[in-house]
Amino acid sequence: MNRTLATGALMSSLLLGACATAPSPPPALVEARGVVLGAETDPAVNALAPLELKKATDTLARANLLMTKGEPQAEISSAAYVASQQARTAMAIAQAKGNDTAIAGSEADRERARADMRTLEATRARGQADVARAQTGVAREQAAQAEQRASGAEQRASGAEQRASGAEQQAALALAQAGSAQMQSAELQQRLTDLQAQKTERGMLVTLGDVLFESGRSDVKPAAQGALLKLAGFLQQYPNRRILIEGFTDDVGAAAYNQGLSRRRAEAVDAALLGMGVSAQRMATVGYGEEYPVASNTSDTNRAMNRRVEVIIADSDQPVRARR
Amino acid sequence: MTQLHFKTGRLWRLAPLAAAAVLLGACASTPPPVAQIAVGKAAVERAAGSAAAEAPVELAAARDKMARANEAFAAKDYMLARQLAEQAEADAALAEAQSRSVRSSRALGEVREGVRMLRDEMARK
Repeated sequence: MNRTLATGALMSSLLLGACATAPSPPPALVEARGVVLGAETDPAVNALAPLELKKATDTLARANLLMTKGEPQAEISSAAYVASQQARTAMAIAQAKGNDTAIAGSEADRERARADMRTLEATRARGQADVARAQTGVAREQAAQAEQRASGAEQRASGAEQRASGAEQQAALALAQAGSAQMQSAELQQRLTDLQAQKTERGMLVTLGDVLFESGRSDVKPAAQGALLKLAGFLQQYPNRRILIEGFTDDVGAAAYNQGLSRRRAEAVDAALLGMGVSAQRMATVGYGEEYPVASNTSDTNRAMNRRVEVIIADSDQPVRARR
Repeated sequence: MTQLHFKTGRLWRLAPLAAAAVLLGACASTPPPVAQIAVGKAAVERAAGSAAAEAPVELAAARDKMARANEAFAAKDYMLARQLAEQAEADAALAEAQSRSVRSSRALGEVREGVRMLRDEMARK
């Protein structure tokens, strides 16, 4: 085959076709028809890009018209290409506007989400404020209770203090009393010691010896004054104590005479004490004569010991028990 | 077709071309498309301003077509110049529209992401 011939034949037929009615639509027009149909049937395009869509459909109509009129193929193809691009433009515009609407909706969502967040934070903050207020209330109550307890404790403390001071006073008093009682007892002891008193079961015994009396006589010698004064002083100090004055002799002489002598000596001591201020009701006298010797009457010394007056001081405020 | 024989000779080689020239001349009796060239140029320039980042391919096609339109115009091929200018205008418009679509998609994505993050933060509290 002659290549030149074939090329020439092909070109001729194409050129002839360009000026003559093409038997079938060029590919560009077929494609354009498809793209524009797609845009036409898209509801978004119809709603959001109607003007751009109209441009495309108009251009396609022009291309179709060019075809039916038998215009050059290049012209048809170019118009078809433009229609395709315009249809795609319409779709892109619809997409963009759809996005813009969605953006507005999302921005509203974002603002709503922000508002919800702020509400949540406000609610939480309010909740925390409520909790803090409740805690403050509890704390205030506790403080008030503590104050009450403190004041109650204070009252009790002051009451206890008063009682304590009262007890202290009592203790001091008791101590003082004890002290004074001790002092008294010590003093008593001292005095009794001074008196040379002996403790017996009937009371304290003070013995006034023979030297204080003239032999055979019952009047008290001045030497006895000292001892009797001490005794009188003691009895004044302890006014509730009674005494019993007992007289004794040795066995020289008649028993009856000695009985009388012993009684008279006891009464002499009574009289002397009376003269020293001791009241008579406190004193009792008795004579025992030769009875109850303290030593055997076998020597002068012993006999002298038996010649005595015994003064028994009661331990209490009761009378002294008699010997028998 | 191998049996087909036309008249051979150098002159016959030129015959189809001559015929093409005649035919082309007959179909190309259009006035210079000055207005269309201007419109095309303006469209490409506007698209270049807004679509350069998001639709580079479409913009390059528009520029290319416009350049070829100018060439055809200079070569007095007015039909071709007009066709190319029209195509360039359509390409430029598409470039702009696609650029706008890309930007709005991106913005929508960002806002949605922001909402999602806010909701996540609230859910965590």
